[in-house]
Amino acid sequence: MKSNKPFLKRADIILIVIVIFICIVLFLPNFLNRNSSAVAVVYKNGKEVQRISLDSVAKSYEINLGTEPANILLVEKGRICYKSATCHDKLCVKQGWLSKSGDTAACLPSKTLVVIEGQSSTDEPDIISY
Amino acid sequence: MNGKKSKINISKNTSRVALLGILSAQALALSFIENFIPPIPGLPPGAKLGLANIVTMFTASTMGFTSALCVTIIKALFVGSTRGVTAFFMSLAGGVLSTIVMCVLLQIKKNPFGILGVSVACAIAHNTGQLIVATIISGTAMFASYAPFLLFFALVAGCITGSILNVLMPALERQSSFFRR
Repeated sequence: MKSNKPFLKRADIILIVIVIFICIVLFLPNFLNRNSSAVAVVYKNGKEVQRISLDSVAKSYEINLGTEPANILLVEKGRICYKSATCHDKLCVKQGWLSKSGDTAACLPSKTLVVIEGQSSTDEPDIISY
Repeated sequence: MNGKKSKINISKNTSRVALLGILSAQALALSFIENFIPPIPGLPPGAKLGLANIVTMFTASTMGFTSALCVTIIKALFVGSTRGVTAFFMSLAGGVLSTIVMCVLLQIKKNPFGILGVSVACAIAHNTGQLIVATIISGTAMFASYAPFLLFFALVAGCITGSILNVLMPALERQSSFFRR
């Protein structure tokens, strides 16, 4: 029995630094790709069922995904969210509004997923620095 | 206290089962208490500290892999009976993967990691397991976009649970010593 196990060793610090580094690397594309022309892609059972260009939404409307437990999406100009869900924990509703590329909300019980994809317009620079 | 202990005449196996029962109960209590912690703004909802990992880690380090696996499975059954089948598989996958990682790290010769490192590694393994199950259940690879958040949160959660375990270690040791013959 090792009752006095050390709390922090050098390997721990190395591990934490590596993890922070990986996090930064993984987060970078998210920050670089964020632009306003967002497309919401709705998945049901892993298949794409709907693609909504959020900028061209004139009047807000609701979508009933027809799943069990039920999911209702609310679409507004430039953003989308899970309005209500009949599942137990309602994590998808708590996720709130999705508007930027890379934003994601999912409802595991009803197997639905909404992802915002950025419009990949090639004539635009990725990033401008002055 | 020692005199009292020696009077109890029970087999090694019995005391082991009793201790495992208590540790499992503590893991369940911790995972229940965790639900009352309000979600931290800015973090993905559903991200949890994994307080039950405190007990699992203690079990793994003092009683070995099989015992830790027992606690993990009992916890998963509890989660499954209170929050549904999906939650059961999420908890089981995360728990089993993190228990394996934990025990592998604890078995390494000279043990380069301290409590904090093992705890962070476990939290990462736990989230990885849940991500894999979420991907299998939903049938899409889209949950991969959650990965950076989960990785970062695992780091934070691992540090917190590791620190708590470090503080609780003497108390947990004392508790187990009642059952050790």
